[in-house]
Amino acid sequence: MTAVPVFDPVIHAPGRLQICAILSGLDDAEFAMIRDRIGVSDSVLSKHVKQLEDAGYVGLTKAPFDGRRRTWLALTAKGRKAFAAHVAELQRLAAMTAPGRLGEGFSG
Amino acid sequence: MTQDPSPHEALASIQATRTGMAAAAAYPVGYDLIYGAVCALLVAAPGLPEPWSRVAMPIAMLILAGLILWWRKKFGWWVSGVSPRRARWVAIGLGAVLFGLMFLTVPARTDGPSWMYLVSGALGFVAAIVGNRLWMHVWRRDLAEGPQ
Repeated sequence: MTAVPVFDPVIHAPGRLQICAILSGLDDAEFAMIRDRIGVSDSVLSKHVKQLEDAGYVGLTKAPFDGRRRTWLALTAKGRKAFAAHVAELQRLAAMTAPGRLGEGFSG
Repeated sequence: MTQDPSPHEALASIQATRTGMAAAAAYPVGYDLIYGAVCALLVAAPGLPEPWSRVAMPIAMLILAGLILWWRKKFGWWVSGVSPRRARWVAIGLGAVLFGLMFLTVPARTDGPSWMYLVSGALGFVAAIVGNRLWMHVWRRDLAEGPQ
């Protein structure tokens, strides 16, 4: 199903865009893995996650794992829908601004 | 990337992030072998002699849970077989094959041949490994092509 294009300023910030990109392909991911992958500090990632959580796009689960309490993040259904809509809008805008090939292949 | 990326920059960032995730998901052959053994055990369990037919399935489920824990610990993420848009059809297909193989095992328990569980188990082992690798291939393509 193709998402209706909607630009989402909550998702568009680079850090949050990468968080959503990671989570969009997974069921859930650990906080530390996302931090390492996008190369930010704990506090910066926490701020991004808080904004996504406040928007209802990300859900957090804290669970003991391997002897430590870890935080797992997952996109909510609302978050998946918003991210797909945002990507569809980016593709629409990209198609308008240049004949580039970057948007090709995305099926949103 | 700037704080207000252009559409092209944002799309490139999304694609690079997702492709990077797929590339990082390299796992050892041992995972395939253990997963294949678990599926073989599930398929062959009904045909095993007592008491193994009763204990084989719980053992297989425990090993499966251990595999999931190992994956979560190693990679820091999890995706179930049926979550991705296209790869889910590989998982459904594999499930159908394994379920079908059980129909080789179950009747043979009473009607023979008594060694049929070895055949169904071996076929389940191979199907699971091929299915697992095929699932990963399709999932990587899903990731590279865009969000669902």
